[in-house]
Amino acid sequence: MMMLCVATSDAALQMNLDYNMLDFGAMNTGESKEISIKGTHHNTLTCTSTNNMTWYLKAQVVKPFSFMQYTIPEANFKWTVVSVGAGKGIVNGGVNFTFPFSRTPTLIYTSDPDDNTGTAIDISFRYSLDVPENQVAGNYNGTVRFIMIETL
Amino acid sequence: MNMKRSAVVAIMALSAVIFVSGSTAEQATQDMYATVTINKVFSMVLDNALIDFGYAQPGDTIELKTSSYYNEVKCQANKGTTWHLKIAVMGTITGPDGNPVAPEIFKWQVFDSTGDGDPVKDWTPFSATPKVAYTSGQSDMAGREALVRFKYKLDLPKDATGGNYRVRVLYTMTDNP
Repeated sequence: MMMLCVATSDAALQMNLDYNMLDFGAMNTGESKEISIKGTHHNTLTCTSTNNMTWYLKAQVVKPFSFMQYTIPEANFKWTVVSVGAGKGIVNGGVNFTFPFSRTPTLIYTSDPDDNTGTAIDISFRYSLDVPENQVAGNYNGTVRFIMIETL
Repeated sequence: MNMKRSAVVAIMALSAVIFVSGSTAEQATQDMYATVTINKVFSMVLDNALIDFGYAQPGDTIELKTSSYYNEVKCQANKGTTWHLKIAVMGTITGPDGNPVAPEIFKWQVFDSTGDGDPVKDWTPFSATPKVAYTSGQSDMAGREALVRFKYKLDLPKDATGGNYRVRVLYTMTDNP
């Protein structure tokens, strides 16, 4: 029974992020900056499923930009999907449109049946940050989690 | 009989495992780590540096802009620490006759401010030593712009010389109390 359990939980959803660092560098209060170190994009998530089931890519801020007791509102931190490679699914809001991150998982991509049979789907992103006019100086860091899941 | 019961229990357990496994959605996650350095701001802008009381007779009290403020200082800081706006007379004040005049005959007060700090709203005599006119509040020290608006008054003693009086004022924004 234990062996059967292991077999059924074999991961059919796989996701790889080619670059997991995002450094906006030094910014002034009130400044906006967009980061795409690879020219057209900053990094790429490669999603693969062999489950023959619709999957969803979501993102959430698990730790907002923080320095001591100060935070930058997550709504000021934004993502843009710039391409989906071989993907035939739907980008929530469309390609090249920018949306704010949230602390709750936000839908980014819904797979097409053709995406669910082992094709690697390369979803490329760029990111932007709007520093509020009233923001304490310091070194802020935060974490974003990408989630590939079969429930909406 | 016991073997049969054991087999039934085993099948039920296996079914439960398959059911649980099948009902749990698969997911994969990846984290991305983001950083930014917010630069420091510590700035002050004065809109009108000339404080001219015009002609005053001995014994006169002249208040500039009686129902409003005369000038304003725009302060902005985001160090997250308390700052102070101080005010002092700059250099030696000489009267119309060329003789030194005591700075105390000139007075200032904070008319109002847009910040959440603590303004000095009483008439206060000038001195050569900077005096605190405004102490920042929580929002002021987190980067919000604060406008501090001043009024000025001249109390010319009866034994002073009549004439034109003006004063040069030094404004200092500092995080030293």
